[in-house]
Amino acid sequence: MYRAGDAASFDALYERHRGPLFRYVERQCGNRPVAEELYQDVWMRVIKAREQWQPGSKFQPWLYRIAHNRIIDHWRAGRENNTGIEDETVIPLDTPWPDAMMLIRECVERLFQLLGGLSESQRSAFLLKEEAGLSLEQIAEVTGSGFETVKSRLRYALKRLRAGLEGCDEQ
Amino acid sequence: MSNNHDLHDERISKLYKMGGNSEPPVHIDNDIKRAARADIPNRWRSYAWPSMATAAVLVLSISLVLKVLNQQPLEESVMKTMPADGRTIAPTVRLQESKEKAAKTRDNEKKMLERKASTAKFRAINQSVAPAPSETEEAAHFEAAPAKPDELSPRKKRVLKRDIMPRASTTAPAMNIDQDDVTAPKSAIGEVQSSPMQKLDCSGITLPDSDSSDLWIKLHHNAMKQGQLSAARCLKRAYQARFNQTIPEVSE
Repeated sequence: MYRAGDAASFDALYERHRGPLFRYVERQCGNRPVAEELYQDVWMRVIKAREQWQPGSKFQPWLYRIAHNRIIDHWRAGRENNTGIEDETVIPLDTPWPDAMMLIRECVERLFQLLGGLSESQRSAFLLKEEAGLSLEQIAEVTGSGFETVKSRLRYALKRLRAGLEGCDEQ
Repeated sequence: MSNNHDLHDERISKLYKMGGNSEPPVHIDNDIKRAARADIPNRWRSYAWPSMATAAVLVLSISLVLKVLNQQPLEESVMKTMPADGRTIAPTVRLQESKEKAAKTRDNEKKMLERKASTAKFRAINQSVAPAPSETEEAAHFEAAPAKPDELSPRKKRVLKRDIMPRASTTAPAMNIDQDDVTAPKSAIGEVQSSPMQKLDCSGITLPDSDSSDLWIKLHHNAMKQGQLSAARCLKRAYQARFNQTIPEVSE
């Protein structure tokens, strides 16, 4: 509808995706000010490129593909400016923690620390599944990877998280 | 199912969801929504130009078609007056041509009347001798019994002299009929005028009452073939008077 020029449909679409998309971007880059900038840039790209969206296809994978590409561009730019950050390098997360019980809080804090320790591709696969709720096929489409590659990335990510979350089983 | 367990961990999902629901700041939300709205009018503006151009072309085309349709009856009337070869003529030229045409028609009518008048003179001369038959009758009569002056009976000669003389003197003053001689009027015969006046008796000849020059020529040729020179000469003069041109000679 927005593609045809309906501003109200854009508002509805934005409200539906703003939270998950922002968290996806924020937890991918690990820096809130940078995340805000990237998040705004992603939506600007969506607005400009809305003619490219094919009616009938799902909007969510298309939106996250734009976000994923923008984050990769950001990572690549960071690699050029900074001393080489290779794949599988840990990117620390700067996430506000919930005010919960101490043990739970510790477990959540540990989870986000572990997420920051995952490789970009593993974290991306995990976040696209948990935050955006995409299927493995959709994750493969968004990241431009093969289905089996996505499966192995996700399996490896969960294995590392489980290993790091020992002692949180009783939660 | 083991695969599913490898790819999903409910405990990790729960912990992740407890990690908080951080959201973008409101000013970023507003900026993005404003940008989305601002982009729509631009789009409409970009769509408006082709639409307006198309509409303008349509309006112009329709008005042109209507104009052509309105002009069509006039064009049709002009086409009727156009020459057969279908040339297109400017209105002023057409007007001039129509005027010339009318003038020519008037001239032709005038000539026809004059020709008829001169023919009537000859007919008046010959009417007393024989009634004017139809074209075919004329030819048949001419061929079957060409009247020679010598063959006329004395009675016919007297009638001719009595009937024609007064009429000829009034209707054709230049024509001089002296007894059996007929001298063609100067105004009627062009070529003969320059030649010495010949005495020619045309009293026994029935001239055709037709406007067909072919018939006249045929009769003349027949007379020539049959050696009826005086009759041929009479026909020649009458032809000249009627058609204002010399009768063509026999090619044989």
